[in-house]
Amino acid sequence: MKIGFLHSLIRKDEKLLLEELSTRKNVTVVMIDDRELAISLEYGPFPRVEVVLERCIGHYRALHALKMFESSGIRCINPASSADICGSKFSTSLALKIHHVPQPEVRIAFTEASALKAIEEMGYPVVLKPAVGSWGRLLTKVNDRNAAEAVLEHKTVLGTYHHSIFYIQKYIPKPGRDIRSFVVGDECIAAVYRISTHWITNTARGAVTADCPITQEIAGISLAAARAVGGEIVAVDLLESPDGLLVNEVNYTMEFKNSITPTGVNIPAKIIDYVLSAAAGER
Amino acid sequence: MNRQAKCPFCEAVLMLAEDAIKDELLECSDCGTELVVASLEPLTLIEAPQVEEDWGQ
Repeated sequence: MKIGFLHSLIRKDEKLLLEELSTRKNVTVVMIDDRELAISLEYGPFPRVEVVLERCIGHYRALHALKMFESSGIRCINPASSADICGSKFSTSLALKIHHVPQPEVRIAFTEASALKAIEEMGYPVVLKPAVGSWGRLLTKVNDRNAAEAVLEHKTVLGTYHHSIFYIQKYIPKPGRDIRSFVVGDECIAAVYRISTHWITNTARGAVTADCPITQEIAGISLAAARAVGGEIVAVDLLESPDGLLVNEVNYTMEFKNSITPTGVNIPAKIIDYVLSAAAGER
Repeated sequence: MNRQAKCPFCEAVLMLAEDAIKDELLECSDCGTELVVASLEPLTLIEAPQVEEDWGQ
């Protein structure tokens, strides 16, 4: 069978997936470099593969390529609809709300004045996040009104338009960590604590990982979050609150390289097992 | 294949793994610059592009 591997730069995660694919019998990998795509809506060219596994580093290239491929009938993992939801923090929050998945309080505002009003109503501290983005970039913990006024003005004046779509999340105090769980199909296969003394606990920002035992609560909320966004292979970021776990984000091109050793779970093998079963029409 | 390549910044000689592939991200062990394997034949390293706003998860 032929598996399309949609990519740009090859990170350690992609390398591990490619190494895993190379060990499988009767599998041909078709590399699809998003930097080389120039697709006609009518004529393609569309890859002749059973499944496309999306592993782009950038969200918008991934999203548009997935939409194009799906339009020609190619099965993609994850689906474009899932990428569309996960790529927007607002759409993710909306999907979680519709599916009754617990999350921190979120408000959306479009002007400095309405954003400030929302923040004051929510109470400090809050976290301002760009609607699109990751690796903890441009996250702002706003502790008081002075900071709120300054950050909102800076985002409006110095940022591009989408930085004036204010996504405001209630700050949830962390016990020095959050949880990232990994969902493949109907199973929560692994979870790690991301530990940091900083309030931002992304590994891209220096957090270290340690195994997190998968409790019923972790598995339940992770699977619920994956279903809410329509994701087949996703990583779910969870916050531990006094009222239980809350979903912070859902990631559709999950990065897992730092989570294999602490969990002892062969995450790339689990992903490839799933992709090959999908290619065989079993999913 | 020759698996030695120079860092385009500090000119340190880097030994690449046998299984290095095109477009793979690497870090110069001397200066820490993030690099990309631009081609395997000839083996060429270039500076990795700057992180863009919609990168990563």
